[in-house]
Amino acid sequence: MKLQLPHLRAPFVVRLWICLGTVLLVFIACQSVNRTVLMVPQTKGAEFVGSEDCMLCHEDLGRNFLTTNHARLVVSDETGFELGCEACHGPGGLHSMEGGGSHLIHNPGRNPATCLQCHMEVQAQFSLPHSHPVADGQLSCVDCHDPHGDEEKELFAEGILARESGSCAECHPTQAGPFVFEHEAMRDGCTTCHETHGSTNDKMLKVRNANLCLQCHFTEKRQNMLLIGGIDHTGFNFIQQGTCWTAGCHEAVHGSHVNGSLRF
Amino acid sequence: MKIACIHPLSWFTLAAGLVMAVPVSAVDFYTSDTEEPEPKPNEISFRFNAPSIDEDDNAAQVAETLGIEDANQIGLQRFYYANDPDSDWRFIMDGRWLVQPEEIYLSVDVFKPESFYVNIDFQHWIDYDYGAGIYYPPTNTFAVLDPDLLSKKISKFKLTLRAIPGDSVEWDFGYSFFNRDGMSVSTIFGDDYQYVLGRTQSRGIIPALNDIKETVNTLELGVKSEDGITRSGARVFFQRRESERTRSVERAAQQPSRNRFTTDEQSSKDDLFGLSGYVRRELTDTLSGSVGASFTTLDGEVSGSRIFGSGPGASYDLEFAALQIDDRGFLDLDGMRKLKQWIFNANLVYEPEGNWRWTTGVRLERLDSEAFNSYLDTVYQIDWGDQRYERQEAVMSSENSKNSTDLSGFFEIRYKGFSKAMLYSRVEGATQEGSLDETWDRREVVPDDESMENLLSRATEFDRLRGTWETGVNYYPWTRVRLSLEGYLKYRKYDFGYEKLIMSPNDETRYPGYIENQTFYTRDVNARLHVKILPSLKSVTRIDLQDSSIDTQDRLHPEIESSDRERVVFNQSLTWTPHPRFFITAAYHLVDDMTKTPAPDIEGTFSGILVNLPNDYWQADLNLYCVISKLIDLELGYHYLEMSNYIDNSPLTVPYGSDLEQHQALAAVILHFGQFTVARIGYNYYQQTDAASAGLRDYDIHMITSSLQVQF
Repeated sequence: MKLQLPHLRAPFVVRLWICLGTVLLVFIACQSVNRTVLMVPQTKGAEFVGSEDCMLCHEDLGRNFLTTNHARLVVSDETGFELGCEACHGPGGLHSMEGGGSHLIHNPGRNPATCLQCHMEVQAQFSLPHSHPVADGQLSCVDCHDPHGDEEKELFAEGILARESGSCAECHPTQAGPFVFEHEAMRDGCTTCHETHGSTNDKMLKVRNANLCLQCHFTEKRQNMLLIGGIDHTGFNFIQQGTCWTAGCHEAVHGSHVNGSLRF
Repeated sequence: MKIACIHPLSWFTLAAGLVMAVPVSAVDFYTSDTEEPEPKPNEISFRFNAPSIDEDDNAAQVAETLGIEDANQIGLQRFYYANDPDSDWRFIMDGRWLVQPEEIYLSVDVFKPESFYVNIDFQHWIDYDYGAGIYYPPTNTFAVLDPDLLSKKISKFKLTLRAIPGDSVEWDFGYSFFNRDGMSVSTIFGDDYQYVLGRTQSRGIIPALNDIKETVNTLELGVKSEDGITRSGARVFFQRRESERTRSVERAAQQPSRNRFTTDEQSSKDDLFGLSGYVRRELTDTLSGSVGASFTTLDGEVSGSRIFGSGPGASYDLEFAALQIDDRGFLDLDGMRKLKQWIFNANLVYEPEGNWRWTTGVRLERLDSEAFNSYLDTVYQIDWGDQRYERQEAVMSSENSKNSTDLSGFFEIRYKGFSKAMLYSRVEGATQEGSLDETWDRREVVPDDESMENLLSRATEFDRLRGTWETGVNYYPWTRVRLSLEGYLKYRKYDFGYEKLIMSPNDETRYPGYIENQTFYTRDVNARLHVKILPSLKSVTRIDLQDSSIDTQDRLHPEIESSDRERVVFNQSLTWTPHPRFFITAAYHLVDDMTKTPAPDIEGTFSGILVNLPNDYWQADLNLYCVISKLIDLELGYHYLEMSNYIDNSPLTVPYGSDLEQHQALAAVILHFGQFTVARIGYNYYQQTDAASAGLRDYDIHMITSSLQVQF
């Protein structure tokens, strides 16, 4: 760690004053204040009421929720009482009592903190230099994921590219194709090559160097040549020129209209 | 005077104590004797942040990494207003309007419960993109780019109208708009090292600018009906996707005698039309079923060109001198693409009396697509006899026709018979069969008018098999302990059979033509443990172990393991709330990630060119919040990130990865000027060092932050 901090060397009397001051601060605070601190997804003054109470008004959401992955968190015993709707939305007592009120319930759609309490690895990914702007607030988890289970989308089986890459194409239509010369990897979706939450690599790629491509397009040494896809990549020092997509050779990695080798 | 010797810190301590001890008469405080008020529903808050980015710092890097521009940030951080919940007509508005960085969010809901609903959502922000590549040590090269070129404006708009004319029918109309417009930057290592008549070139870092304009307009109309037992719905939608992308690359920026630009312009316009419907019915008290179907078409066109010239945006110039072999472009791209997709879906949910839930479903999909392009191929080759470049032009056409049928199904069972545990297991399977016919023809017209040459003619019969099995348990033995265990296996096997294959010797790279079959495996186990170690101390631990591999067989060789990826993810957080007015959270994240291929094991001439590169990083966070007095809260935070996957392979090829450290620290004082007025004054510090960029991506930023929030 290279963080350079000013060197602190306080004399004893100063350290003593700091200690006494701190004790004084805590004492005064404890005696004079009743304001509480709330952590997401708590709501001031609210208590847990259980998911059945939520169903009284949000029947549609509850019905679809039953078959989602998140519904696997629910058990019948009181040890799991808080893990229905209120696991993400926080205690709903006040919201239920008032018959609504968005200020009385937490909305993870606006603040992903609740999601990230369990999906901790995703929180770390959003903090990487190459990531979707969820930490900055421009996107939220629900832009790509539907935690309640969308009955209509499921039953409509809707539209082209309905699988994994469907939500990506909403904001990245150019990469959706189709192309005359398609990249086979696109059939399996964007996550074949991209860490969609965030990555250590530019473009949120899973691997920074040519190994990304060589996982499928493996190399073969023949005599004094290094072949990739049956083509010598050493003749003009191609292989030394950088990664496949930054060497100026295979720029159309999502598919090409004009070139069978996905050059452009 | 003895008092004069007291350290200034002591004065600060005394002053702070006085602030807390002496009530400010102008402020309407609640105290330990009064009830803490409920929050008000409405809110308006303002933000003013003043960053200090030194001239030597990398403002573009700061913008991409942190979204902070080198200018004061000011604006309306949030405005929220909702009218009386008991009103017949409800009005709710939520918005944000920041000038620096430019960001707007507005959501307006107007509705009459159970009758009519209107929603408008608008969002606009700037996405910064600073793909400046990497520092190249041998030539001391780093692409320094103009920050003004590095942003894209993104806008999203959605209008939803919903009418509920009766007890059981609901109509929806929606219009949405998405737009991305701007410039992004990436780098390439140039076409150096390629053969140039008479000599080879050195390598260099080359900026590549992408000018992007993408829009998506969507109209949709839906209707739903429900009578308590049966629910049904239908929807029709129309979507137009338009894309214009221009990629300009200065091919040999450090070599004036060889430098030229490529300008690759490609546009597309696609119209999608979709029609779908579903029925869902409670068949018995314990059994419900649903069926759905959809039909989608895509009708699109593409156009474009790729031109070499003396500058970006140059026109095709017959007189432009060739500077390198195989400088290939194209003109007058004119293409079309069509697609039709049919999907049928059916599901059953069975909940017998007791503790089981069985869910199963099948999905059948048919996809037919075709695409055709024509264009003029332009390329410089070498006339070896005359030792000079020769310009070639050829009329090209390419055609693709594909169809596939997918059949997939799943079966999931959940058992909740143990009162403190939920067990589940799910199996998914999918098959795909299809055919792909491709042709690619070339007829040279310059310098010679030759007959048509077939570059590729191939008929592929492919089939795919996919399977996933996941199983897990969520077990909460006590209120203070929650354990989740899960594991899954994924298996995919793809086979490509070629009934007809004619390929030009120079075009053997056509994939999947070279690959006969591939098998993908993923094995994953993960666990999450919530423990309340003390009533005030909560621990969350998550561990994920994953191993993925790919077995590949090409046309000439036996099957090999072409990839093996091992990934370990460990996360730990601790939250300590010893007092209702105080909490500390700490978190640690570690990722150990390595992808290996056989390439680095190659010995001899090519040894060391290709390397296995880790994607490791770790992070630590510490946050503290404390209510100090009636007036003052204190917030402290610190975040650390370290990525150390840099490998300087520049003697053989190029360097990869990052050797990066980031520190972020914040200290803020929150001032409660009354029950519903809160001000926040803080200081943020950001530091980045990246040894891989030789300091050219380093930054130190100091930022004073402030906001004022009023609830009403």
